[in-house]
Amino acid sequence: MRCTKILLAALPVAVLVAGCSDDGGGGSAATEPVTVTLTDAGCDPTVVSATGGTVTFAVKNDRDSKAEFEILSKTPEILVEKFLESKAAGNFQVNLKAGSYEIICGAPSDTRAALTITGQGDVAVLKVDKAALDAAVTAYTAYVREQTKALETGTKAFTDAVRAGDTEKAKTLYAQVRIPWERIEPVAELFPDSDGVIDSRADDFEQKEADPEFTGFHAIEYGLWANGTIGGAKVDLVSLANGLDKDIAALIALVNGLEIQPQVMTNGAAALIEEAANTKITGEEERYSKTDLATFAANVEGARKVFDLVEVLLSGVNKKLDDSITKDFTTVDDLLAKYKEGAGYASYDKVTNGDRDKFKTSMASLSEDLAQVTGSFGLEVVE
Amino acid sequence: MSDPTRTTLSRRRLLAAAGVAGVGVTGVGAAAAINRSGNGDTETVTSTKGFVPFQGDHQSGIVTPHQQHGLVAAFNVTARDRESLIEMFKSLTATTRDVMAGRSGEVRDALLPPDDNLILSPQIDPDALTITLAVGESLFDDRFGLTAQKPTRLVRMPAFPNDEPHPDTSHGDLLIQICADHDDTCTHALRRLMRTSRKYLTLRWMLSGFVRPNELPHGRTSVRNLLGFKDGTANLDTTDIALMNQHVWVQPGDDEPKWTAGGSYMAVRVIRNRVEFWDRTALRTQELIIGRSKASGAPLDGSLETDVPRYSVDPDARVTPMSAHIRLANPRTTDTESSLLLRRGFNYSLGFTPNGQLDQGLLFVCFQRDLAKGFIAVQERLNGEALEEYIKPIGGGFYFALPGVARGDGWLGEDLLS
Repeated sequence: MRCTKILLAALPVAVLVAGCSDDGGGGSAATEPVTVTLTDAGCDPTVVSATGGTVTFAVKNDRDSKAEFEILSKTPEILVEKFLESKAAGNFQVNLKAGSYEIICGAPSDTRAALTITGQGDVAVLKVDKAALDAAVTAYTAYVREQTKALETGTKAFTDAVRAGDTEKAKTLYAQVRIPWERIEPVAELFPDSDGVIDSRADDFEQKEADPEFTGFHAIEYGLWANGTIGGAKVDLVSLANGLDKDIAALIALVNGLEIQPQVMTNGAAALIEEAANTKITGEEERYSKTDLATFAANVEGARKVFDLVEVLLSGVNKKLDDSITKDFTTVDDLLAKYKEGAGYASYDKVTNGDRDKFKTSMASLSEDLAQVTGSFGLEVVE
Repeated sequence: MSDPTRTTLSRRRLLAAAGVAGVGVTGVGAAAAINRSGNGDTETVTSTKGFVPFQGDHQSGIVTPHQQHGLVAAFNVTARDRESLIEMFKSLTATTRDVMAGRSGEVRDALLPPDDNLILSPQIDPDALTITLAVGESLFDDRFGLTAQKPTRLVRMPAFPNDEPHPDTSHGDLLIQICADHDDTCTHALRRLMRTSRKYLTLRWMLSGFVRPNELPHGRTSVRNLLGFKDGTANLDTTDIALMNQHVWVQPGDDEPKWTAGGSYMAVRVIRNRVEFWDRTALRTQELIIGRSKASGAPLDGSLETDVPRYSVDPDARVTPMSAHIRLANPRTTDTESSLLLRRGFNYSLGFTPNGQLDQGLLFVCFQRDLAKGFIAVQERLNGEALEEYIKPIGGGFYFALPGVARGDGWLGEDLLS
């Protein structure tokens, strides 16, 4: 398979201890390691070079005593310092930008090696076709735009109904407007402040539902279902609706201005399922409206979209994983299909305990599998 | 009508009780006299095995070497007045002295409920048991006339941005921390203490935990948390008295009520870990989030657990990300030195939550001389850290660990209440 390099922003150095960085490990060991031996005289060889990015050093200590391996910058600063027992060997991975460095093998006075790093720096080795991955990201970006558009119109219709005092209409529109939101939730979560004001649950606040900080979808949901009326004593739904309009508009502007990175897309699929498995399986997300199945399904759809876009790439690098994910999605889809009611889903109350267990196991299996996709592509998640 | 069987049984029990009493009077095992406070007072113990002295300028369980088990129990105080509060502290002190010294309760007539629960047998090894009493901010409300005595920096634990606050199972007027090398030693002590104080104290929340301490040089220990990472590596050297005075113990002359000298601010946090999610996160991502190698515990620019990270030569975060937990918690700058604190936490495992995921996490405990400069400053730096996605603080509280009791007739809280 052809390996391509991809630019990643702000990739920090990661160092793996010897034995943890074999070929199956980090997904970035495809470049030739830089081999350095610590001899009695110092470094051997004395001139080494590598391409910028994650550089693997294969270091061996030929001395009769424990010795040190250090990489120095020009300043000089010690970037990495490793001790090796006598006759021991180890592999270290270091992320290095283009430039000149020095290596110390043993004492600073021993013969040093000059290390030249060429190229752009900050590169990791991609295991899938870059053009195809880029195409998937482009398609996913278009999907996100579609969803933000639906979110924009859906929110307006929903908040209009709230402002008009039409409780029944607002309740119907609530489950609908949650769908585009839940499909792209991991992208929205890249902006935690917006996410917090729009999608927090009462649990996040000290005074729970009564907390003045409790705003967004679930505060309105609480007002509509638990209070039953618009303009009830506790919840000022009109001002919550006005706030939601403003917050959603701000978030959409942020999301639309975002250049989606491939790992945000692939990891986002895993994050959607984690989210559903963590908080939706219990019926706590939509606790007042009981519309959990609709948002649960939207999480699954959002993850499914990513999977569909990258499946051809995944089958190239890990057919077994691809097959397993396909099976997982089918299991979840079949379960969801049992509870379809009209255009939406049954109330979460109606999900039997047996099916709740099946949701748990199938979502856990999907989480385990989707968590491997990003790494299988040679992509790294940068926090 | 009398029941002959019952009479016989009662007699047998009485005889057994008399037998135990005989042993109790002469003492079990090798009694030892321990004098730590230097004022002539001694403490009598049943066995020196794992005995941690109660008496001293500071309470035990703070700079004591980390035991393998620990629990914290927080209580609401229902004592009616100051007098009852004093009674409560006196009786808690008496029981604390007894159980830390390995003394099982008095032997009573078998027709009465026994004094000791005997879950450890009548012969108790101290087992490194420590009991630490700490008071919460709410004790200083208007109930006991203690408002003016409140430690200056003691506040009710606020809700930090990533918290899921549960006020009913956080905070509390009084916190008892019990640590020992076995879980049942802690349980035994808790039951003895609660029995002593039942009329004044009602449980508000509690949690028990475990760790496997790993000795590091210079009086330090580290443990592995349930994320599988070394925790406490950069902890303070508890054998360094000057360092403890600088960072852990409130000093005479501090901007604090006089009675607090020798005590310490205690921050407790119940931090749930999303362990399933964490376990399916790439190793490299985990290491970058924490800032250490998972296997060795070494910082990312070093090779040994005890290596000190050199962030000053890594200003562009080429080696250790700025968002790495250990870099945020302790940036190792002169400016942040004042936030050094002593961590002494435990892992917990409570079964599972309704979503079918394990309910595990960290019972975080730390001690410091200044709560604002210590835990609060550290947490403010950690707000928004990459690790937040995997952890959820769900409880805990801020407390003040009382100063120690140096005299044989002294009691915990004496300087606060008399």
